Amino acid sequence: MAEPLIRMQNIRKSYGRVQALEDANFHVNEREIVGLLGDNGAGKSTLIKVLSGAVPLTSGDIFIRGKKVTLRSTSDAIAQGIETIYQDSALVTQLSIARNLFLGREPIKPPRFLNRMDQEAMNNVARDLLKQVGISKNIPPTTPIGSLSGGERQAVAIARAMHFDSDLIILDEPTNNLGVAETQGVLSFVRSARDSGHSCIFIAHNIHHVFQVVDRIVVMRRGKVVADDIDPKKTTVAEVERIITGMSDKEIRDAVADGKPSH
Amino acid sequence: MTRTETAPPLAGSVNHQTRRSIRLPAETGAAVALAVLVALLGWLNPSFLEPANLLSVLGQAALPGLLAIGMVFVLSAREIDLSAGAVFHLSAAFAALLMLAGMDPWLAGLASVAAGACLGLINGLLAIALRLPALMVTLGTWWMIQGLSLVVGKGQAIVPPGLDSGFFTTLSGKAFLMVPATAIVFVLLALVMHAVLHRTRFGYRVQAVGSNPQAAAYAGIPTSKVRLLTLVLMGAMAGLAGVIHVGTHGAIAPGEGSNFALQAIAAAIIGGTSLSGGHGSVIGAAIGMLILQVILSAMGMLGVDAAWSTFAAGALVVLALAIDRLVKLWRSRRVRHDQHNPPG
Repeated sequence: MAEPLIRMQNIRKSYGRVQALEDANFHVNEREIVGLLGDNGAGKSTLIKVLSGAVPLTSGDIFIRGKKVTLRSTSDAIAQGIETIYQDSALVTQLSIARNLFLGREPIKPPRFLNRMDQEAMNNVARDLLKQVGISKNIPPTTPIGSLSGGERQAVAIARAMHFDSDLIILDEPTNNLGVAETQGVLSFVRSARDSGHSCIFIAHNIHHVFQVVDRIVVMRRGKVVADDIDPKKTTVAEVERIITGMSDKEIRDAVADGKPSH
Repeated sequence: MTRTETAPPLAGSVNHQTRRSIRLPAETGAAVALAVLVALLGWLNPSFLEPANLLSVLGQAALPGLLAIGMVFVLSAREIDLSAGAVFHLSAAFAALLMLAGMDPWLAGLASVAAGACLGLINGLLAIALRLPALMVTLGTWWMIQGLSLVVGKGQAIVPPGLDSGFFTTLSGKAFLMVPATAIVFVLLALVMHAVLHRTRFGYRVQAVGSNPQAAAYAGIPTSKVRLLTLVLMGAMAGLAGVIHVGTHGAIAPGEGSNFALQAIAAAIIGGTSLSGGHGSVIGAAIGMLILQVILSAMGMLGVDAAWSTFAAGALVVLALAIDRLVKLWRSRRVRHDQHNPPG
């Protein structure tokens, strides 16, 4: 069996006495969109923060294509090809689209010691990306990101991850507060990310959105992964909701194995 | 190398159209205010417009103006440094004492700029180690540094020796017989630092950290390092101003520079730097400092009691805060309006 793109093994994370993650095992395959679901406090945010280098793990191992890695910071994760897009914290609204696309990876003009940004290169790339994401024909890359709609901002953030060739794009609530049309736009953009070779982790409270886009669903409860191979084509939203809210392990196994609601 | 492929138009995308409007530089408002103020004072008293008087105002603006340049970076990173005036004073005292101890004045000046940068470094390290905003940390260090100045100066002016040396004659000299050397340093540094804020990676990161620290951190920007560097820069600018003060005045007296930090903050805000971070203008702050100095100078010219100058400076800070708030409200309302009523 091929080694997955990302494998997290026996991940434990504690905040003082609070055990946020307890021997969580999780994996993402190449070119796969994984839906990560769980109730509030289930541990999905912590798991994502560990994987994105935002918080250090207490114990456990992370492997990328079979190679063990240590993610001490978000820079480490980005260097390893893991890009996280948080709903409210993906972009800097006061800065331009071009500058947001290169946030943290700004190109420098020679001579390098002067530390001058290559604004022209940034604008050119931004112009191309804006066309590719289909935002609009006339918007200049120097426009502040704050003047874009919520869906457009998500599209720009995803385009950034794709441009920098991230292997894994983690999307934290990308469809929150979006209208129906914009949600569909973002979902189709996530699909196109997978089709062009990227893997994604999709976190959303709206299970219907998850069902529309993911290849596999993983459910967390109380810091543990309680189901990690749910095929959205073979189960129902109601069934997944029952797993999220808590069924016995036997019930979960039966439900997943049968591919249909247990009763 | 990119794997991005063309996607269909994003559903629900706002139909943006290029606006045919002329975008004026952000500093335009402050520049117009300065021009109106100077014209008004010239109308009230034509001697105010004499080049010698205007250059003298520029010279007065230079030292607190250097602090304002540093303050723009600090404010843009969503921080504030209340200790800058005290750093100015201690650096000046340190330079004078080193000269008294026999050190070459230029070397003493260099050491004092470094000392100012070190004080900024201490502010930054404390803010990061204690996970506190620089506002709280510098509230404490302001008093500590002021206390140190009193200890080293023993409550008296420190007068360095050799006031006829090249260090003092250069810094107190005038180009073309009328342009103070301090004014030249101030204008040149304002232009260079404006370019640093808007054209370099460091300046861009300062604004990114000030605008959305979490997004900057998630994008891999070392936010603590950026905050630290802005406070070091602030310390270095205050140190430089202190050294130039010793060079131009030939002494540092107790209390000098005590209101510089507030003046620097006021100038930065008048010039368009946001108190809530994310945006700054060094040229705007330089214009803001000129506005402040023109008002203070006009009060003297119009015979207003000097005691009122402190009140006026404070009133300007309040006014600048009110303007900052109003501009912010106006901008957010405009963005909301644009999103709900896209042009075309």
